[in-house]
Amino acid sequence: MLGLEAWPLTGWKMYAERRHGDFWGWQVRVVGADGVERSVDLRNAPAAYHGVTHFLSDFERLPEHDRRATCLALGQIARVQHPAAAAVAIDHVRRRRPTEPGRPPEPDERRLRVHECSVDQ
Amino acid sequence: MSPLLARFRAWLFSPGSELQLTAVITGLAALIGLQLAFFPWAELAELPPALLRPVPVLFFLDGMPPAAVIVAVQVAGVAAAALAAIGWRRRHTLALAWLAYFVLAALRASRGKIQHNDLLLLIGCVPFLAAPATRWLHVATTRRSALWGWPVHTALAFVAGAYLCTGLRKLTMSGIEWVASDNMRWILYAGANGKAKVPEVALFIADRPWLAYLAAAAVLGFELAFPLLVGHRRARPVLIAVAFGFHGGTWLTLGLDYWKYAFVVTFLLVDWTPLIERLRQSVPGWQAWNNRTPTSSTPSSA
Repeated sequence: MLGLEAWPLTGWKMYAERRHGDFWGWQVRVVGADGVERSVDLRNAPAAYHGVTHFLSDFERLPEHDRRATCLALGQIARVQHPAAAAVAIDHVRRRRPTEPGRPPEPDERRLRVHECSVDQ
Repeated sequence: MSPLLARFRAWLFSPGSELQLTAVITGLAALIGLQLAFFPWAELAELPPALLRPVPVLFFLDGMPPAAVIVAVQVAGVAAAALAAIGWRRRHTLALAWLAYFVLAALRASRGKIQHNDLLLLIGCVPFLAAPATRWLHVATTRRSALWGWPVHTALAFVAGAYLCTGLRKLTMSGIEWVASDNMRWILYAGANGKAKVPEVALFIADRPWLAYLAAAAVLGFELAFPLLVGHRRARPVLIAVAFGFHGGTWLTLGLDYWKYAFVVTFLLVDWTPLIERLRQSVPGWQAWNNRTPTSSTPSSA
């Protein structure tokens, strides 16, 4: 209740924040040698990576060294899904929540590239 | 002391039976064992150190422990939970199982997201770590004592507090708009397009605003009313049914696994004493055998 989040002490903030149709989220993308970008599917990544999108909400506050380390670490899972990945990009994206599963998502309203690193080393 | 506080204190230290305490611990220990056995904990070792955000209790970690260490903790925890469930040196084995679960859950919560899935079981078990020793399930008596009552009641108070805080947090962060807005519809649309086990259920509710408002009101009502209803014996079956409906619904529509919460509520709220007594009566020869057992006493009515 005091906003304390120090697991196992928690503020029990489960879905407490009101959801809207438009939202800002994070997306990890790979950039191939041909320049084509593809999304990294974090939802179906191994269990170890299941907190990454939440983790990224603090990304912009990280010092440059930690940002680079984080980006390279994300390159490991990116490479598993897209072996030809040459670079990893971390984007902050504003989009509309889809209401019909299976239909192609609406184009992003805004996309801000927060970081990009080469994994082709 | 205010009358409300005095009533709470009287309830907290009201008597409970040894059989009830033993049955609750057996259930919780089994739940810890199952959770430890059936999650791929070793996969956590794959997390690169740069992505680790250790929770405060694991402040000393620079990276995830090797898979072998995680598996060793897992195996020790499963063995201890199994022994605690059957009642062998329960105070020690339950503590060991809980500690193993605590460590692994802390690792799971160190992936960047505050993890709530494990918390109700972890905090619900804390009073039992200090509970008096009880006899095995088949010989525990139905006699009542405050000594056997307080751990179950304290655990219930913890669980009720967790639900209350969850409900209040929704109100303090979003106000009544949490219910009286499209909030629940967007939660469900996100679930339907995400990890929902049955997206059709999420869409069915989300596409009908009145039903989404009703669902949101039911969720908030359940969380806020839990502490008020927990002391009323006649409300307990309803609370258990709603807990299964709520957490089962969360699993179906959002794909989030909070089944443990429903089982913790069930273990704590069911009056196991008459059920086990009836089971004992139905076992041929149990009564005669029990009367020969020196550690047991003749069961009295609960």
